[in-house]
Amino acid sequence: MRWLAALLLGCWLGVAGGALANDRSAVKQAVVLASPQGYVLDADIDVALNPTLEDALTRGINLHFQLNLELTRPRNWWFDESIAEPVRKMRIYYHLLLRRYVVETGYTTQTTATLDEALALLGRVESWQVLERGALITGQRYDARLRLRLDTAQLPKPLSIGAVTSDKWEFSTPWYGWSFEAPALPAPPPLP
Amino acid sequence: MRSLIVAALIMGIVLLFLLFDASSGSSPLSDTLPTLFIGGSVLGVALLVLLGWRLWWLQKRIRRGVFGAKLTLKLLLMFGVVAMLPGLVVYGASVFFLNRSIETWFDVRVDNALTSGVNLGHAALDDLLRELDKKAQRMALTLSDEGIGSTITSLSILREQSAVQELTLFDERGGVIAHLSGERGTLLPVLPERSVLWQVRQQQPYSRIEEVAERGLIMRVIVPVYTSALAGETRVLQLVQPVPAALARDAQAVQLAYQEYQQIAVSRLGLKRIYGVALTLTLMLALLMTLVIAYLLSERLGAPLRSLARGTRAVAKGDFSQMPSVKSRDELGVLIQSFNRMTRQLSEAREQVARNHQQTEQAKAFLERVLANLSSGVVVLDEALRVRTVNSAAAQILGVADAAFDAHPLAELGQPSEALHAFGATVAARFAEHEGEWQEQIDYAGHGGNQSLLLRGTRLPPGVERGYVLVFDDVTKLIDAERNAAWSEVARRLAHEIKNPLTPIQLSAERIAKKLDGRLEAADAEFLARATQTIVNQVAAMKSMVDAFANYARMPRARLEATDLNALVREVLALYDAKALGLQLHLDAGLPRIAGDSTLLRQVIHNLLQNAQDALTGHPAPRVEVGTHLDNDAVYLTVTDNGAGFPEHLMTRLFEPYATTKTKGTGLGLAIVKKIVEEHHGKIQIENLKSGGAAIRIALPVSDAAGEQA
Repeated sequence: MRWLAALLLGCWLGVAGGALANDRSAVKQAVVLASPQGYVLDADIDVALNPTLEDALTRGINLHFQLNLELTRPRNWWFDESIAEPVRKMRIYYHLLLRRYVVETGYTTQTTATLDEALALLGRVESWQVLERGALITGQRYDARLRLRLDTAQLPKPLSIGAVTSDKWEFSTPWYGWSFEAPALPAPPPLP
Repeated sequence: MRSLIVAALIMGIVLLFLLFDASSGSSPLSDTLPTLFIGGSVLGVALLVLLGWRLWWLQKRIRRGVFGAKLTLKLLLMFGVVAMLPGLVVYGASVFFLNRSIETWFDVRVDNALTSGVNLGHAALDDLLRELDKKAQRMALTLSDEGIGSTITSLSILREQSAVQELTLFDERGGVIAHLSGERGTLLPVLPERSVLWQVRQQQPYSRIEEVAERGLIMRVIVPVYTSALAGETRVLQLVQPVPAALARDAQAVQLAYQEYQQIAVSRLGLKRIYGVALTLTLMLALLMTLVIAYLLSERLGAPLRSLARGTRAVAKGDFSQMPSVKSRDELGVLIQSFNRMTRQLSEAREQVARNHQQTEQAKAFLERVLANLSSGVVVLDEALRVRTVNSAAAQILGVADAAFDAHPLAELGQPSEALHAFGATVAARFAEHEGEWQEQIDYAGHGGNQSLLLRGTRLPPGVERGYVLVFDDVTKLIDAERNAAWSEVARRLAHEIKNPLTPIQLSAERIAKKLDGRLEAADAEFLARATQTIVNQVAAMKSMVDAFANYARMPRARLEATDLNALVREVLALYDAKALGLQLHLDAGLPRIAGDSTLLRQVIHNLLQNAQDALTGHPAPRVEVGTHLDNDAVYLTVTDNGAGFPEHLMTRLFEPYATTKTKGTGLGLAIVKKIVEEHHGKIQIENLKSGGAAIRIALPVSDAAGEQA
């Protein structure tokens, strides 16, 4: 009776600390750029799925990803000020009838013939609108960190619950942190 | 404690209900499941802690020896086993069937069928696409020779012929030259991507099935259209044809089924795990709750036993007031009721015993009082003639302490030389001789001279206890009184009978003397005178003797007053020649007054001194000691002389009339003394001294009035 409870407890505790990152996946490069509409993010991410996820993909299971960006302004003697935490939701799945990988990023949908192409597509972030104009002070230093992770809550329910007990269904790049000076914004485009 | 358990139980039930609801309802795996799992685990741990705490508490109680704790533990364990066995069996069976049933979902044939279905769809689509591709090739060939002008017409004809929904012709840069669509076609063409156009121009035709948001699945084929003219540009022809609706629908359905099947297949482990965890959690919660309920139940079951134990302990201590209250109507309640009844009966019995004991004590005390106040001596003996009880009168009569009797056999009382020993031996012999009752009068040489004892022995009737009873009375006084009365009567008769003829004898003698006076010769006359004188004198002496007897018989009753004995002694002794007697006085100055008649006492002193004087006649160195002293509420008068003492053969009859050693005298002296002393409720004792002579000791009671005055 007691050992059963102890076992369960141990299970929960083990899971809580078991979000293991995939070694080969990492954010290679990321930069915040100025655009007429505000600030955009360009990033290049290596995405390598483990066999379990690849297998799931080939079976037609949708994988939802989240691109998390955290922008903070460092302060002396105090906690950093949180500026924004935009999230970009992405989806990748294998369309059985088309026999092609579908990558949905924001409002665009693209199909690729191979998984590698699809993952490359997923890892290439271009002109992601992250901040409005005026959100940053030009010349000020900001800290940013970025990661891509699998949104296990969006997995099919049995999997999402099962995922809690298995780290095979965990995917996340380590946080990629960098520091930048807010670039000056170009003049806004003239209103039509 | 109880509310805590109840709260935990309610929470557990609610949780289980939610768990069942979450895993069985229309939404098979609700979002709340992880929360429920965590909640269940927390509750399980809480219940476990609760149970552990109670067990620890129980163990402490057991170690302390609290009654009922062991029973509670035992019941708890029994309940636990009873609950656990079926629970575990059902759990095992459930897990087994769960795994089996989940596994049965996944069949290779189903898998193959679904895969084949998908492949079938692929093949069908591929077929259609290939057909469209051929059409496109043909159209491209047809169009290659057409001039710009006739292109539209040709296209229109071609579209009609090939029943393609949408035809679009692009120029080299991607600009639309012509766009033809059927009834369901769109007004605007689907523009190919630049890379596709470029690819097509490199003689790589594009043929693909695509999914377009508004139109569903479409087939799209893009082919280059070459012109025969050398300088002519390479145009591009795009054919768009929707997949037939039925096929599309079926293919989608197959795809969906395949997808879902794969999903479940992938999450098979997760599912098993979820159901397993849910089952385990349910089992754990159910068991824990059962155990907690078992604890409550065992507590409840043990409660009447505990109260019973409390009652038993109280009864053991002698407290009958602690009655355990009866609440339940089952056997335990009956048991408690029986216990209460028993306690009540016990209490009543004890009271009864106490009452009986008290009554016995009272009866015994009463009996002892009666025995103590009995003037007769009573000795109770057991079967072996051992003394069991002696009343105080017995000891008093025999003149020994009560302790002399203590559980001694009758034949071994006192020292062999003592009178008590002889007494005991006599009585033992009598009991041995007689079967039933016997009676005998014996002499007993006790402390106060010889006593006559009247003994009556009885064998107790064979009943509860066998034994003997000896009752005896000191009849000395009675015998004395009888003797005295007899002597008084004799004296009175004698006086009367003798006195009557004396006067005529005297008168006759005197008359003879008178008649013959002067008529006789001198010698005869003198003889006559002498003879008559003798008669007269002897008659006078006889008269005085008879008077003395009469006096003895008619002794006046003593009038007791407070009297100073010392003064009386001095007064009487003044009449005697102190020197001739060698008188010595030892008078106690602090003597209280006695209750006595001074006239009679005076006579007593006279008589005693007279006796002493008589005994000392002719003694070369006479000595008489007269003393008084106080001892134990009695005043003693002692008269001691150094004469010859009393002859031994007279010692027992000294106080009877005519017991005398003297040649003359009536022998009434000591008899009178005795009588007077007895009138005064005193005692008299005579003994011969070893140094020679006799001592007479008289004890007289102190006057009550005198005591008060002193």
